[in-house]
Amino acid sequence: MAEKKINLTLNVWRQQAGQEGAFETYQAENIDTNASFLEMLDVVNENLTCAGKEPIAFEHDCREGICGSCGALVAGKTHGSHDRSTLCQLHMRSFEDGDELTIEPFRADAFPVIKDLIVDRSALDQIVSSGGYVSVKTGSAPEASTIPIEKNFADAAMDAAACIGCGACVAACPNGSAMLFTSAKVSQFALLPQGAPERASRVKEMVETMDRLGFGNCSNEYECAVACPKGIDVKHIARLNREFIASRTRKKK
Amino acid sequence: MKNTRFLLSSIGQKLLLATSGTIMFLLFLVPHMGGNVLFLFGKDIFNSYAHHLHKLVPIVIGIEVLMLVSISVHMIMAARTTWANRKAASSRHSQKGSKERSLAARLMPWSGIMIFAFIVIHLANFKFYEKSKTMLDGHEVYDVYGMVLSRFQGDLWYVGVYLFFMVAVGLHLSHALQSALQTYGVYVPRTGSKIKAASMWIATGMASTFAIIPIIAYLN
Amino acid sequence: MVELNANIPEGPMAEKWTRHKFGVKLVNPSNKRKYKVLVVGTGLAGASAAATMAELGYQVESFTYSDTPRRAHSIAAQGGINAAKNYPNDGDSTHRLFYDTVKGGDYRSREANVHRLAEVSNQIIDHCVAQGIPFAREYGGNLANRSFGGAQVSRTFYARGQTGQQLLLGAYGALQKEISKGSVKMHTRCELIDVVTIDGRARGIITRNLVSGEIERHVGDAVVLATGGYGNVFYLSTNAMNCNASAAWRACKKGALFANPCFTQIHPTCIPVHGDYQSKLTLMSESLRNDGRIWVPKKKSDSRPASEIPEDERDYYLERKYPSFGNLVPRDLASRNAKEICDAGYGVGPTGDAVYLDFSEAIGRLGRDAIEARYGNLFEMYNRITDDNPYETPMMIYPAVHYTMGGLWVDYNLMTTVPGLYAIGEANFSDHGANRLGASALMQGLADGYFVLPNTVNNYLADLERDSVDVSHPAFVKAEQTASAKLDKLLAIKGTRTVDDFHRELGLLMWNECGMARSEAGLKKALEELPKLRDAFWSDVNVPGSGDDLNQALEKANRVADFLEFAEFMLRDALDRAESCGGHFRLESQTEEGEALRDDEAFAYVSAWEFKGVGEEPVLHKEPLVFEEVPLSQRSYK
Ligand SMILES: Cc1cc2nc3c(=O)[nH]c(=O)nc-3n(C[C@H](O)[C@H](O)[C@H](O)COP(=O)(O)OP(=O)(O)OC[C@H]3O[C@@H](n4cnc5c(N)ncnc54)[C@H](O)[C@@H]3O)c2cc1C
Ligand code: HEM
Ligand code: FES
Repeated sequence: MAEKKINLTLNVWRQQAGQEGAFETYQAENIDTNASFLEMLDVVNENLTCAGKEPIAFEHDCREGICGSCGALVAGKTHGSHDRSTLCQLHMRSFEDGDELTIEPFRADAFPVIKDLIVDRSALDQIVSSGGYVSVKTGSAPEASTIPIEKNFADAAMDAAACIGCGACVAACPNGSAMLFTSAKVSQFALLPQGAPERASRVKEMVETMDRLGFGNCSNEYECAVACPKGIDVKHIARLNREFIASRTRKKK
Repeated sequence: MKNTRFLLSSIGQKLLLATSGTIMFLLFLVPHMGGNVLFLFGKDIFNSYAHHLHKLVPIVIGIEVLMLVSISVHMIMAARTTWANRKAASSRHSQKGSKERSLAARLMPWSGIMIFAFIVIHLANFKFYEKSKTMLDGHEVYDVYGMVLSRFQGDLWYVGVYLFFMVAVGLHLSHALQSALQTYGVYVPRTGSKIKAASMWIATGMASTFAIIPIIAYLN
Repeated sequence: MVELNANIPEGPMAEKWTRHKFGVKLVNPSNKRKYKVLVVGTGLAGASAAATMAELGYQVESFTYSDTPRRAHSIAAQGGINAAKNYPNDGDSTHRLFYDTVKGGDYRSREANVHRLAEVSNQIIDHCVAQGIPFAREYGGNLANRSFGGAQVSRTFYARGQTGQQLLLGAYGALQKEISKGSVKMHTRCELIDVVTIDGRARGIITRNLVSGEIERHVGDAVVLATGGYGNVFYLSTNAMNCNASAAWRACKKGALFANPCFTQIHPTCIPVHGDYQSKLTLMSESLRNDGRIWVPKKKSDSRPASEIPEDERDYYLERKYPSFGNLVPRDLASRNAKEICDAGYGVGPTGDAVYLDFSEAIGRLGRDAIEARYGNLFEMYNRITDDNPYETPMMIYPAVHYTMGGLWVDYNLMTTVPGLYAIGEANFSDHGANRLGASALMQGLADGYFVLPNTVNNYLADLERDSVDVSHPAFVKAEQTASAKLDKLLAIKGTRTVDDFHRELGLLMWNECGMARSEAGLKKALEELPKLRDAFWSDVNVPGSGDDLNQALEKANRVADFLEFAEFMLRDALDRAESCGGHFRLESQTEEGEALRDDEAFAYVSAWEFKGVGEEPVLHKEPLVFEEVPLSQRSYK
């Protein structure tokens, strides 16, 4: 944990709701390389506040890479690195003294900017709303051990379920597509017996909602998977495609 | 109604794109390439192939209609998706892609347009072109071989344009083939994928094979 | 005068809940939609309660300050969730889970509530499996279990290291389902800033829209607070940054009693603080203590790197002091010992506030691969944060605030002392006594939300007389005015110190005087300093920007203002409770060997504090605790 201090120049996107935004330049001085990226922004904000300026608005909560709140495009990369980490897990030792960083919100048509680095990702909730669950009423569940599930399938479902809903996939996709996000949910339930009854309607509804909300299409370029802090794989997109095709035939039964 | 909704959904459009592309690939590019290879075996064999092809007129017309439908569907769907994609990501500023994003993928709409332009030029040059006759096994047949030869001979500029278009075909296919599989739900891994490699090799092989004719014809 | 009636049902312990469910009044299905329940919080407790009550037919409105319900702090829980399934056939039962929880809570919880918790624990697992939560499985396809601190059976269900996330996403899915049906109205980025009572009953809430800054009024027939714990009063904790005490505190100011505020849990294995810029602390799973050995140098302020300190100059102090449990003593003991040894000058690392957790012996014995298989992801996480490689150098750890057992006082129905106001999840006090066992918070949050509250809220609603109260009622107008006046005041100060600066100072004060060890003198000193800090805040805080758009500094200031008031309850409670129990260690109450000494004669009660005004001394009400099933005994881990 060697201690080292660095200085950085930040070009930060500043924007008020409903107004045009622009980049502004700030100096981040004397930053401990053991600090996290968000802690660096905290320091900058404390200084801005003391100088009578408005601090940079950015979203964060858990600061340990699980809640999916944080995220910004740093030097052109979502979450600042393509290293399976969220912005809150990125540490300043990844940067060099004198670096100049451009910091921007996660951009996509479906993610309007609310303020500075904060965007509205509620479209992702709407996708889930349209079928990303098993419709089981509390109290109606059978004894948990009734249905054994092959370990491979449970593990694969967990791989898909690890999504934190941060939206980096959408921001990284050249088409602003939410396929990786949607496919992770569809996949999780397609792999488990509990998901079977609603399998066809789930995928149909979720894709329809995704389309309606202004996300782009998948052109299989896989930028999403490079950006995903949780390593969600594009095999789920392939599965989503299969599920979607199968939903046509399944329904007719 | 249900079907239109299915087909015009994001995934539906991609399925149409992949299907029309695959039809063009399997029923047009592959046989066409096969035919072209015969060029290497000399005038008689090539002209005989062309002659026999002309005897299969009903089938050829059927395929031509299918091609027309395919390319129309392909272009309409390509335009729709590309348009929606541009719009969905219209607000980008400092975004850089990762190393992952291949040139071929980036250039899909452009390589596609090149292919279309090429097809138009190509048809104008070879299909709707006055052809002279020649003798084959005592019959009078069109001298397709001679036509091709004369078109390329001595015209370096034309050969260059042709080769340029072949690069476009190669690029388009190298992304398209594996991408279509993923669209159909066949998992194409992000890294170390054999399918991706195969797609690249097939595309390169195909574009090179097509490129051989103008080169040989030019050198002839 | 407040009456404390826990409303514990009659009958034998194992039958109370069943009898109670039969005894409560019901609301006819077609009448349910006439009642509106406001649920604040979308963590495990809130999301599960909102979804279930909507399924039952109530009109539900749900609130969270996050941009989506799925980001609630519950998402961060790693370890797992307990249930008495006894799948491993190792002798577990509802009774044993009940027993362990009461004992683990150091006999400061209410038996009847804990028994009910153990009873519904199995239903939670059934339900979560049916929701498609990918719990870990064995090769045969059955659910896997592991053991967790404080229990001798394997009863913990888990989904990799992301159990909280998976359970929350299950509850979130259920909530989204109800939202899409229109039976839940969701308000995101919407923070409760007051509770509205009319004729002594809870009738609504005042919220601030965090995007537009608008103050809004919401009316309902019952209000449920599922707003989590108050660990962030310490500034640094393992809680998410936005966790706060405001909802509970505002409820307290409207008449709800606050129970056992001094019961806070300090987790022993967290990554130490490394600088002033530090914003939060990261928990490292407790399981690390199964193979890691804890030590410090025998020499004070030894600055040599760990590798240069020979074996005989290392003090494995837990193994030395507790030969039978060694490094596996309960959380509170492990934490307290680390603090003591660091305070005595033996700590390591740049700040001196850390001890080593060393795997070299385990790596030597089991091989690096075995250790990697067990803890690989944790080692990677540690490496990411500290840049140190725990395979080569020992980890450095230090205790950190993790969970708060105290909370709003609730009766058996989970209702506070304000009729119609409920508290569930970490926001209430009921089930964990003075110390929570690992993997029990998730269980409690979901028990409250899926199975308890939906079965008790009807008892209240069934008797409710319909009236025509709406948001134009003077009580709403007044509450809104008070709340917005407070925000205006915060914005008007424009002093010289930032909100974080005050929060940090408060945190340090609380950590020093009301943290791992508490003394009468220290608490009294803190009670003198706190009002000064509060005054300084109100005269010198700098909240930039305005109130009519998204203003994170203002949100924070409003929360810190509440912490500054609430902290006083913690100090007073800690001062009143002159015994040591669970997470509460009073220096005056220890055995000759320095172990915690509980005083059941004098303190076998729940302390429920009544707010009397800021700076005024609160009034203590006592709910006596009776132990019928689990005999009182002193814990020993020697
Ligand atoms: C790092 C960590 C690991 C843990 N691991 C485990 C574990 O392995 N097993 C276990 O059992 N427990 C564990 N716990 C404890 C457990 O996670 C929590 O106690 C539990 O999740 C609390 O759930 P909750 O629903 O009560 O509250 P929370 O999840 O904290 O939710 C609170 C909700 O209230 C909302 N809210 C709060 N105030 C307001 C307001 N004023 N206005 C509007 N909305 C508001 C928030 O937006 C949020 O939605 C862990 C805790 C931590 C910190
Ligand atoms: C011989 C002719 C052609 C063949 C064999 C072909 C083949 C394909 C195939 C197989 C795909 C992949 C579909 C998928 O990703 O699932 C594709 C994509 C594409 N094609 Fe073609 N194509 C041809 C001509 C054209 C033409 C003429 C155009 C446009 C003018 C075009 C534009 C595109 C575009 C833009 C895409 C990518 C769309 C996306 O993924 O978003 N193609 N093509
Ligand atoms: S703040 Fe939670 S993931 Fe970064």
